[in-house]
Amino acid sequence: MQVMTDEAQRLAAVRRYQVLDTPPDGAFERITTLAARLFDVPIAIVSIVDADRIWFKSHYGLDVEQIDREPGLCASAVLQDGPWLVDDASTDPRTLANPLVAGEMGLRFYAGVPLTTNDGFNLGTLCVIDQQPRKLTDDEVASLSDLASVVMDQLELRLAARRTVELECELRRSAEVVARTLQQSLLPTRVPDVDGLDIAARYHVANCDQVGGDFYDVVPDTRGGCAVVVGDVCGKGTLAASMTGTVRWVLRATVADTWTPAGALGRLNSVLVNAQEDLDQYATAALVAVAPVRDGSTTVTVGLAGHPHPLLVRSGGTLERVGQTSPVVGWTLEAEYTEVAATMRGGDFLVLFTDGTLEVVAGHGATEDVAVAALLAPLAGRPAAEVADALDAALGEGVLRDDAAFVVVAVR
Amino acid sequence: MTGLLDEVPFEVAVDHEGDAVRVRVAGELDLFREGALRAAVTAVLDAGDVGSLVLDVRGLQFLDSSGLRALLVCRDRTKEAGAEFRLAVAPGPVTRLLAVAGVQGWFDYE
Repeated sequence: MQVMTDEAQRLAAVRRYQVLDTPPDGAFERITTLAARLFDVPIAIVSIVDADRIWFKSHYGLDVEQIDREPGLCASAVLQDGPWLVDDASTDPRTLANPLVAGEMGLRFYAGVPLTTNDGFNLGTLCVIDQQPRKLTDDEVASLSDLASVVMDQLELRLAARRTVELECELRRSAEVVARTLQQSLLPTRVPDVDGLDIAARYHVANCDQVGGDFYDVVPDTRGGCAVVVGDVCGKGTLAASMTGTVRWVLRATVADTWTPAGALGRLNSVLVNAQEDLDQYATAALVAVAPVRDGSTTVTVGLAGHPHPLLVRSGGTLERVGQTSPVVGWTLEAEYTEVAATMRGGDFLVLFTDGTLEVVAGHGATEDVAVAALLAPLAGRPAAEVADALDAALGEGVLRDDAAFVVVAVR
Repeated sequence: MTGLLDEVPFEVAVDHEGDAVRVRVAGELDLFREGALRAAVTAVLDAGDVGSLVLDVRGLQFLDSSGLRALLVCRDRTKEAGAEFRLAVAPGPVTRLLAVAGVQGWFDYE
């Protein structure tokens, strides 16, 4: 292999492998131990040549973790294409003046094989050292080179593992971004202003990297009122999200001059049943037509497709469940939809919510009506945002097992 | 996720008596576990010779919308296989959700 000699690029490769100053590692210890035994030498080292030092990833038989780049022999070895062999350093012109050789260390024998990356950079060496002169046979040099390849495999493996982890983190981050974007596309960017009404909507996500199945929408109609829907598509993820999109847009398309919640749910049901084939998905929804009346009151007409009843909180503090349960949408064409109307006056508010909201507000196993009534009754006559804040607080205290969405419609 | 799932009990058991099959499910049936119930019922139906299947959900402490979907899928698959399907329920989270979803009438009961 052509060895790249540009030192700046070589150092960049060393950095890329992120091996400098890492803690001892069993795999490298085994390799140096094996090398020492195999070649019957007192010292075996896996070295990485840094800008100004030679750092030892593993050092068998030598209690030193790093040395200066000068006079280290490994620094010379990394400049080579192949093994760098010094049989007797005390007579070899390349090394005889080296302080490691001439000094206390008394190094006589050095055989180093460069650790060469896939792209041709020598990071360091696997070397064996003795205080006696020696000569390796060709077979032994080949074995040392094989061991150096094992060291390099280990380094590549660690690099690949680190990259995989980084990639995984990156994928996870982008999945969260996709989920959030998708989620936002399924909710109105803002709740529209409707004359005479005060509307607040909130959404709580249980799991940020999954698109939830809950949704809500508020659509003004041409009669001066609006359609309000809160729903839940069973399941999560992109399949649920695509159904949520369908539900939202079918309802938006249906809410025109003359529409009724029961008619809209029936139409939605047939669209979903015919569209989804074998997906085994269904949706639930509370769909409310809010219409101003000449006498100043407001009529709310509620259609319920397998969804919890909206609660009407009167200005005096009493609670009413509005609506009559019809089946979920999207499962069978045999389902039929009904609607129930109620009259609201100034100070009354209506809350539409998903099961997830009720579950948390009421607590597991508690009687929902009692718990929710206790929370909502004292808020009679308050603005929608204040009611929403109280529900938010209750949701914040509980454990969100499912997504939760709700809309508060108050009559001014 | 594994840790969380391990903490929550969930169990499916299948008993055969002639061509009558009883599938009992206990614990919490939600998005993460409904697949196991569907797989168990599919396996029973694929083995053939099923005259009737009772899905006994009296041991369920929790059921979400995905869990209800699994009950509906089991009902539909069983009927498609030409067998009777009945649900064994006790008042609790299952009957509550069936009522809210407006689908009590879609099931026959034991």
